[in-house]
Amino acid sequence: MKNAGSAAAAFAIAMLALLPLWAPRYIISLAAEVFIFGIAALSLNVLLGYTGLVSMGHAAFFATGGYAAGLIAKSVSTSFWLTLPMGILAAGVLALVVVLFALRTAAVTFLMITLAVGQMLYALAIRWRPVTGGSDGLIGIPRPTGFGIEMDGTRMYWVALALFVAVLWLLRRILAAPFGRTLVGIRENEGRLQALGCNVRAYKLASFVLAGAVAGIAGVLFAHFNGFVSPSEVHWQRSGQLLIMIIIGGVDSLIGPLLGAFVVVAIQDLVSSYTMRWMTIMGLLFVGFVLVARGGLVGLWHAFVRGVAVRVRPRSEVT
Amino acid sequence: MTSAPTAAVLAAPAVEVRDLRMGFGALVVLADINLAVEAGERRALIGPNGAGKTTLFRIISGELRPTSGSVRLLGQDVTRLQPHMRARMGLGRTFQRNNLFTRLSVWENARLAVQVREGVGAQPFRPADAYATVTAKAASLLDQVGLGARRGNPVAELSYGEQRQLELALALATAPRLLLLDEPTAGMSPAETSRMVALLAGLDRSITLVIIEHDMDVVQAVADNITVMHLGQILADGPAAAVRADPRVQAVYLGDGAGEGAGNGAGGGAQSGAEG
Amino acid sequence: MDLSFLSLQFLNGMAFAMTLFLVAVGLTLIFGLMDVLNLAHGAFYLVGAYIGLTVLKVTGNFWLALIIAPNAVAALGYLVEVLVIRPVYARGHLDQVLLTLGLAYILADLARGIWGAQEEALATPVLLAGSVAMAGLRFPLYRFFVIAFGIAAAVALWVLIERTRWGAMIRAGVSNRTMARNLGIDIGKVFAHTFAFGCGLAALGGVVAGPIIGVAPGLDAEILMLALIVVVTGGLGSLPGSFWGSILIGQADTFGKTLFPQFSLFLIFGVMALVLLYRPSGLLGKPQL
Repeated sequence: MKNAGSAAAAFAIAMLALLPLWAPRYIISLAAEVFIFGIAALSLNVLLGYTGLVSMGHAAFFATGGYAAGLIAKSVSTSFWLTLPMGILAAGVLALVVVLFALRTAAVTFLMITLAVGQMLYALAIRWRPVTGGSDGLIGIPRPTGFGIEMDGTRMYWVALALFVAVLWLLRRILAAPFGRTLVGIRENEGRLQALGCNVRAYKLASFVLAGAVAGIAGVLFAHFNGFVSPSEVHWQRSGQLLIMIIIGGVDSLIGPLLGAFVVVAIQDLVSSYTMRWMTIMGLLFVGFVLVARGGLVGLWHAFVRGVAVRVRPRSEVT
Repeated sequence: MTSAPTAAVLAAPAVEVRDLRMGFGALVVLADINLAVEAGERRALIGPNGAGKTTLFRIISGELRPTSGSVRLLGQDVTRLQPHMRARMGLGRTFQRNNLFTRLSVWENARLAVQVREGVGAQPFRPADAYATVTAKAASLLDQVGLGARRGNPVAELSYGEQRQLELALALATAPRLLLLDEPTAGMSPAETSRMVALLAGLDRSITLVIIEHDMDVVQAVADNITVMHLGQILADGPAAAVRADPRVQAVYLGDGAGEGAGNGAGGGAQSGAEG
Repeated sequence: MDLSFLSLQFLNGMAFAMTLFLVAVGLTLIFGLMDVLNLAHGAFYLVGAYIGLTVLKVTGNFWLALIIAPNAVAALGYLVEVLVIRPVYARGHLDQVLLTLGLAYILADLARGIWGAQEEALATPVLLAGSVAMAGLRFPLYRFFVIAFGIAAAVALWVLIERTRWGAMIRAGVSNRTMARNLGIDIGKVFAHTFAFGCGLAALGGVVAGPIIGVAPGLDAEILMLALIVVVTGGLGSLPGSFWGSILIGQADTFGKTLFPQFSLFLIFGVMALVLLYRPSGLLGKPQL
């Protein structure tokens, strides 16, 4: 069973790696974007799906990774071995600062604080012109270099794929290990875990920083891939979009966020060629999923496989 | 911990509260409670609903901060200590209402509790079942409380009584030196109750027990001493037989007319506790 | 920096604070009662301002806009509560919050579709278009109106919540939902009315502030953020808390924008952080157990 799963995963990765051999450029670029946002959604799902923390400002860490990589690539070095670690570091440090503050307050305000801090950083990105480029954003970010070569479109796709697979593998391990089970325990019953002697606050902090740092990876890729980072990457609509990806894909799994990223990126691309109102369409789809298919696409798939009712069991709230 | 355990600390009560007051605005829930439970003692805490028993537990375990007064655990002042730090000092507790990881399996519940105790909760790489000491302890705990055969079931599928047993397993997983049990047999069938009583009676004397219980048969079987609480105060305190004979205690129970299982009411005790 | 400058800024700060109050109080009422953080609150503000703009353009009457827009948005809020939020009561707050997130997306996008992306301003009503001379300075009359309106609204809300049957039901629902239900209160109805009322207040804020700060896409997010900060700073679920919180944040924002325009937001966050450092539940919030 396990071997069959590994074989299937290896086959899927191989197929995706071979995509550039036959697919048109435009598909490759969409797929790269799916992997980039897949990483970001995956990182947010560590909080939402595992620790049970709702962050409404996650785009801030994504964007911080992007801005850090962009600034370094433009003025210091285009080496991916520098931009990637620095992007992760910047996002992780910001996450640490935010969570130290957010955890000080009552539990109910956590979501509000993360949203408010995210929006403040959005305003900062607009106003701190000399560094961030203001509302135009940071433009002309060069492609990264590594192993002495510049990573052009196709190579960038491979980098995104490789990093996505690496992040997925890493998070799978972490979440199956005692650390991840502790996070699930926090989601399920924080008070009881504390009564058992667990320093819940420290775990929340660690999971938030982990999520922020991984979002930073996605941000670095985004900046290099698109050649720009703008304040709209910090905006709470971007944070909301990551949440939407997770819910549409399926919150109780690690592959769900990738599916969600695929759906959102595809809709954005498809619908926007017919109408300006793709956000409305996406909002409606999201509301629909929350109302009738809370387990997302993964939940629907499980329900389909089991042949039972489509309506997915609602998650009980951690109190 | 800075100082090595001295003779004084070893001889200290397992738990001691001094001049404890708890009020929410004008409402006084606990008034000047003084209580000490010696190491190894089995103490029952009885009294009508609303007497403040669970509030006292919550203060001892750190979920609530008292309005004034102090809590000492194994000789150390813990009044300002976080709940998880008190748990690490050796305080375990069960809850009045089952307080479990309901959507997880019985096995995962036990493993979580043990991995916290074993200090491997933060390990990020090897699968959770790869830690042999953790899995061995979790398995033996489940056997001890009689849930060995149910380890694969989700908690939600257990009977109420079985969930109570799992409550105890989680508390025992922390290797407690002081165990606070909040109505451990409430809602249990007579057979489950007697199994629980046997389990409690068989616990090592190195564990101090404080047990809130309405079923006087359980109290009699488990406790050495009884503390009676009423309206946030301690009404009587002492060896079981003496307390039961105390006219004030009789007055509270009979005067309230509460069928709390006081006196010789055996069958009703478990029932009335179920709603508590 | 002279005194006249300061007093003018103070007046502007108060006017903005009262706008914030109207928005924040709706947010805090909904949260206090239903435990739902309404992420669409800023969008309701925006839609209210736009409806006000349209009414004003069609009829030329500001007062009509001031009545129609909040009522229309309240009706919209009522529908949203009954059709979208109510079906997931049993599932806990997260799902309700997620639904309001979806709504925020939809409403903001539809508003852009209907009213366009241009920044627009509501015309100041003729009656209040002038200015008042005081101590050698001219203060815009409309700002005085906004301040008076906000204070009147605060008093009216206080009376409504503390002195009426509906207010008693809300307070009962806030303190103990199960008990309220046992007392025979139709909690579902109270929820729907409160949600609608809160949304209407946001819209009222949108119309009242229209002549001062205008309407534009993106304002929804900005207002939502400020209202959140007010609510967190003042204390969740507290009416006086959102009043004083609004004044604190409104003044901080106004003075911050004139004194160090680049980083005014840090002043707001500094204020919030400082308050939360000493009172994690906000100025007048009840401590969480």
